[in-house]
Amino acid sequence: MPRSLVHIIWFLLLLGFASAIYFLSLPAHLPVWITLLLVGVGAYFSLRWLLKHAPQDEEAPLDKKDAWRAYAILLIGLGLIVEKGYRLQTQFGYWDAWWLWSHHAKYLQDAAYWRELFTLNDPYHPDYPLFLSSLIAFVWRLLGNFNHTVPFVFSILIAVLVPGVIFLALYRKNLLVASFAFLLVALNTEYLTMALSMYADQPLAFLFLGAFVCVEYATTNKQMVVVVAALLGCCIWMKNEGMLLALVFTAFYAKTLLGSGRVKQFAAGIALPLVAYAFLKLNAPANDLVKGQGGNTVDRLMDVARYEAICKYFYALLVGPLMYVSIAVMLYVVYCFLARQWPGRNFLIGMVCLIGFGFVYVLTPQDLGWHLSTSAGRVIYQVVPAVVYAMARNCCSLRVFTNAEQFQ
Amino acid sequence: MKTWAVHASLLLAICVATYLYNRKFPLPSRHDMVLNSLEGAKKYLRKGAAIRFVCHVPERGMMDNEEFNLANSFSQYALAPVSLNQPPSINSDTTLLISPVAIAERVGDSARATATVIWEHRDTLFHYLLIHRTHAP
Repeated sequence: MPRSLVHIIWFLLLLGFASAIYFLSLPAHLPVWITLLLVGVGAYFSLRWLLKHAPQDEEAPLDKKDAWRAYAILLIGLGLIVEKGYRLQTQFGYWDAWWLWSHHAKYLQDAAYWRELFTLNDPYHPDYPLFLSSLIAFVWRLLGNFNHTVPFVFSILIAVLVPGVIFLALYRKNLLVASFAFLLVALNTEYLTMALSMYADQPLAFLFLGAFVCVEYATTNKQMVVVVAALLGCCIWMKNEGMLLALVFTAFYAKTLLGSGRVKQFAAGIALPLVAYAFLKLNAPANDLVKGQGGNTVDRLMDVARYEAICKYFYALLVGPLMYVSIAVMLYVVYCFLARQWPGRNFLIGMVCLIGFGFVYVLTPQDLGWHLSTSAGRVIYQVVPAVVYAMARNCCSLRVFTNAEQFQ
Repeated sequence: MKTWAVHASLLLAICVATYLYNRKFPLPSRHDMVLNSLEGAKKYLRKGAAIRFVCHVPERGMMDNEEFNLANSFSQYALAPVSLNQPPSINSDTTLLISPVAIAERVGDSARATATVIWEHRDTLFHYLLIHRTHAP
C-alpha cells in the first residue's frame, strides 16, 4: 500500500475519531483542551500503529518517465479541481449545509446547551448522525468563533482527496486507467458541486471509497480489518445512509471481515464511531422515515407507480448529470462481457447500494416527488467514486500495446 | 511518486482553494446581512433558550421568494443555539419578528400594541423586532 495512501486513510479516520471523541466528551463535561489532548495522543499512536501494520509497498516503482507523467496528471487534475471549484463554491454552502450540518454544529460547540439540538423540530432532523457537525463544532470551539471557512476547508479537502485517492491507489497498476478514473471524477462538474456544497454526502462517499481501497489488503492482512471496520463505522457516524452502505459492504465481505478470528479486529475498528452513533440515537428523536412507517408501508411496497417514478428519476440522473459515469459503466459492462469476466464484487456492492436507496424511496412516508427531487441527486453520488474505483481497479490488467514487440 | 511530493501537491491545492474562497466573498452576501443584523439580538437572548419566531409573509411582488425564504431560514442558523421556530405550545414569551421593510411600520405598530419591544434593527431588506409579550394577545 503506498505510504501516501496510508497517510490519507489515517487522516480520514482521525477526523472521524476526533468527531466521535468530541461528541462523547460533551456529556462527560470534558474541557476542550483535554479532548484535544486525547485526539492528539490518539493521532500519534494510531499513525504509529498504522505505519507498522499497513501492508508494505510491494508494487514496483514507476520508471522516471512514467513518474513524471503521473506527477503531471496529478497536478493538472488538482489544478482543474481548484479552478472549477472556485467557480462553484458558495460562501455558506448549499441550503442543507447551513440548515442542517453547520446549524447542528452551532449547538454542539456550546458545552452548556448542546442538548438543545435534540429538541429541534423534525425539519431540522436532530436525529441525523453528527460526524461532520461534531467535527466543525470541535474546530469552532477551539477557534472560539463560527468561522465559516471551517466547513469549506472540510469540503475542499474531500473534493481534492476523493479523486486523489483513486489515482494514488491505481497509478502504479495502470497509469492510463488511473488517469482516466481520476479525471472522470475530478472533471465532473456535478461531483465538484456536490463536494463543495458542504453536505455530508461526499465525505460519506470518501469513507466508502476508503473501505473499497483498504479491503483489498484485508484479505491477506488481518490488521487491515480494523481499518476497514473503522471506515464503515465512520460511514454510519456520517449519515443514516451510511448504515445501509456499511451493511451491504459487510455482507459482501463477511468472510474477510468477520471470518475466522477476525471479529475482534472488526469490533475494535467499528467500536468508537458506533458508540457515538448509539449515544446519539438514545438521545435524539426517532427518524422521520422510520416514524412514518406503519399500516401504509405494505401499500407503498405494492404501488407499482412508485417504482416507475423512482426508475424514471434515476434514469434521468444517469443520462443527465451522470452521463459520463454512465458511459464508463456501459463500456465496463461490455468489457466484462467480452473478457468473459464477472464485473467484480465491489461493482456489485455499488449496484446493490443503489437498489437499496431505491427501496428507501419506495418506503418513504414523504411526498415521493419532493423526496426524490431534494435528495436523489445527492444520494447517488455517495457511491459514484467507489463504483468508478471498482471499475478502474478491475480494468487495471488492460494494456495499450505501443509496438509489436510488446504485443508479442 | 515521492510521498512528500504527493502530500505537497494535495496540500497546495487545498491551500490555494481556501485562499481563493476567502478572496471570493469580499462584499457582504444576503447571508452575511442576516448574520450581521441579528448579531445585536444575541445579547438579549439566553443561549440555549427557545423563542417564538414569526416571519411576516411579504406582499405579492414585494420581493422574490428566494430572498425571503433565505432570511426566514438563515435566521435559525444565525441565532443558534437559541432555538427558533418552536411549536406553539412552547413556554416562552419572547418572539422574534422578521418583516420586509415595506410593511415594517404596520408590523411594528401591531407588535407594540401587545408587547414590549426589547430590540429592533432594520437593514435594507428586513425589519427585525425582538418583543416580549406583556399580556395575552
